Amino acid sequence: MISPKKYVRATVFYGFFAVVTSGLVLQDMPSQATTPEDKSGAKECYESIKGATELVKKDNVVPKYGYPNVKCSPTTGAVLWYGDPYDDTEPMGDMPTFGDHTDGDFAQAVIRTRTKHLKTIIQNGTKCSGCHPAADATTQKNDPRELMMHQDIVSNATKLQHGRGAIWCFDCHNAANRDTLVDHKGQEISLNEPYKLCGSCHGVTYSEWRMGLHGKRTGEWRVGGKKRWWTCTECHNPHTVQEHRFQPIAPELPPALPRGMTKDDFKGASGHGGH
Amino acid sequence: MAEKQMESVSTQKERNEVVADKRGFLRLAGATLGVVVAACWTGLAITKSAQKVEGANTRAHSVDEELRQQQIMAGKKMVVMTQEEKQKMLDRILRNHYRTVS
Amino acid sequence: MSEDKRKNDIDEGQDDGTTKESRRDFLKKMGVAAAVTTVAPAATAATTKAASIAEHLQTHFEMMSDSQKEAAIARLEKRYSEQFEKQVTVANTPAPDEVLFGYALNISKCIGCRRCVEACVRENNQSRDPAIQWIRVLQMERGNDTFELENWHKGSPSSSRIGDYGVQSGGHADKAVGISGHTDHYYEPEQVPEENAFYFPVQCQQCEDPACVRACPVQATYRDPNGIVVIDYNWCIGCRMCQLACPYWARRFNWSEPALPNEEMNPKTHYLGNRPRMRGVMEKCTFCLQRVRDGRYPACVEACPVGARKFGNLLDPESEVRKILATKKVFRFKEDFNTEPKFFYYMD
Repeated sequence: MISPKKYVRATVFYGFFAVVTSGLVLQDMPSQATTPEDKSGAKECYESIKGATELVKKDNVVPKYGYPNVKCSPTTGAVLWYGDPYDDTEPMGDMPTFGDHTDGDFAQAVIRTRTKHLKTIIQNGTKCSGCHPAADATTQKNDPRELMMHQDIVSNATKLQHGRGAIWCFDCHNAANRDTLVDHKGQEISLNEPYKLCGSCHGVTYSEWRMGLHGKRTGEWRVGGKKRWWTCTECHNPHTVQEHRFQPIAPELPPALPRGMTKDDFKGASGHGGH
Repeated sequence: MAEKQMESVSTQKERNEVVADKRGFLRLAGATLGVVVAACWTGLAITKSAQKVEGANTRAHSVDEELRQQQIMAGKKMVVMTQEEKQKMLDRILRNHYRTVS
Repeated sequence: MSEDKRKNDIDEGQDDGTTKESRRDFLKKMGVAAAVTTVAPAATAATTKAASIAEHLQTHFEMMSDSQKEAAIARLEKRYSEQFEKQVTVANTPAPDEVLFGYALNISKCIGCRRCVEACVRENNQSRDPAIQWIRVLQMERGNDTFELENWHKGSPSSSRIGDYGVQSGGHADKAVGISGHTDHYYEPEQVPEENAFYFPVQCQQCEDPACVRACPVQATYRDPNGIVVIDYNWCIGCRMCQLACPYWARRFNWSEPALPNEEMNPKTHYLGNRPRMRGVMEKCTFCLQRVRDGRYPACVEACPVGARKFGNLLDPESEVRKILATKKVFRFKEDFNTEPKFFYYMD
């Protein structure tokens, strides 16, 4: 903080410079900002996985400041900024106890309703059960075959890499109710709560996710504050996770080079260790 | 004669003083004005020339900043802390914080 | 001017009336000319930037009384609202009690997508042209050919899941470890992350013992009660001492009048945070002061698509940052400068 003694010194110093600089400042008319067209970006944006976490930009979601729900990149369509970090979410609901002291932080946690953003459901206009009403013979034993549909999700079901060949579709997808997932104990799990399933194998990651060390959150920084928790499948595609832990995305533009300079001009200055 | 001369000398002197006074005042006023004008002029000239060379300057400065930044970033020195070092570091930071806010 | 010459000038002046007259005339003309040239722009400046003059005369923000602060803020809100043609708020939200902010960044997660950079620009009203960015993402080559595993006991780099890249295990270092290979922040691939690269974002490290604060001759930059180094933009004289002092080159100077399109301007601002700056002042990351004093995460934390950025209260042992300090491999950038940054880099 500022001590009065230092303040006096600062004031004297300031006065001196103020006189010198005031002339310059006064001359400085506010440049009438050249207002180009709204560059706030695309209406259709994506969060972490391109092709799986799309959402639509809505205007004036926070009227007080005229904020949209999100601001998106005009070059990549990536969501860059949240006007409302809880837009399109629902309470996380009860979490199984875990025997660590992270219990109790979930009261204000919210998650995005995953099923509203699943491309397959959106494109077909129906839930999974609309096409897959009940269990059939193919779901009964661990006998993967080439898929007739959904190759865009799993290109070769006989060589599913997740679990390194040890698991197949119906170890995670519920054969009895295609709108849900299922864990190895037969417990039905919502597609919106994949952490309950993933956590049964990836225990350490699950624990770190519950503590807030793994994964992403938006909202309030305080412990126990209202936060949106990103769930597993919002960042990882379980069908291709062996290929890419995180699906590569297009980066935003690099900083502008100083006028008249090229990238090569800085080659000489780049470091090779030490000073 | 002498008196008259004296008189004329004194009036001459008075007149001279008056003239001198007026002259002195004008000179002073002129000088003051001159200083003010010069100051204004210089200020304007500085501003104008600053504006004129601004384009070139902005570039020069930013290139300079770029090179500096590159240089600074080249001095990378990353040392993973041990558990003990982390604890000590945290203690130092918290101690300093409490001292500052108290 | 030499003694003789000055004497000559005086003599001339006294002897020769014509010179005197002409000089007097000249001065008279000059006076008129000066009056015209100086008063005219001053008058227009006075009408268009009245608020600026009042701003220019105001005192240091921390030294203002409450009513002075209110007046200063009202002045700014009026000026910004007119300039950006929308309702702009300038908050003076006080620092929350019992909070010391810390930041942790996972360099084994960062993919170098630069969303943090862009989020920061949108949140903090940075100038678009010339483009000012508070975060720089450095791309570095993976791998380090300088150090071998057999030199471990001498302080060689520890190996990690993402490769040996010159991170030295601590405590027993006998020499400085640098990162071998090329560093670049203008990288522009189709997609990130690239193979054989890792990314190292740099922004203000919010040092506990900041070199910039020590360097400032007028105390325009200072540490706030939450440990954030802030700037009173109106008190800043633009001498750039802080910029030279900062070992992280985290400060940016407004060399020219910042340009910020009206529709892109974020109208929710804080006096010490993201309110629009002017030419001739310094600016830098404030951990999004206008957000964090309201309880919100900084914009870069929310923008990161991989969750590599963590933020919280260092005084709360349950906070994410404290848990990272307790359980992860942590290092600080340029720790040897002893500025005690509260920005921690860590690895899984």
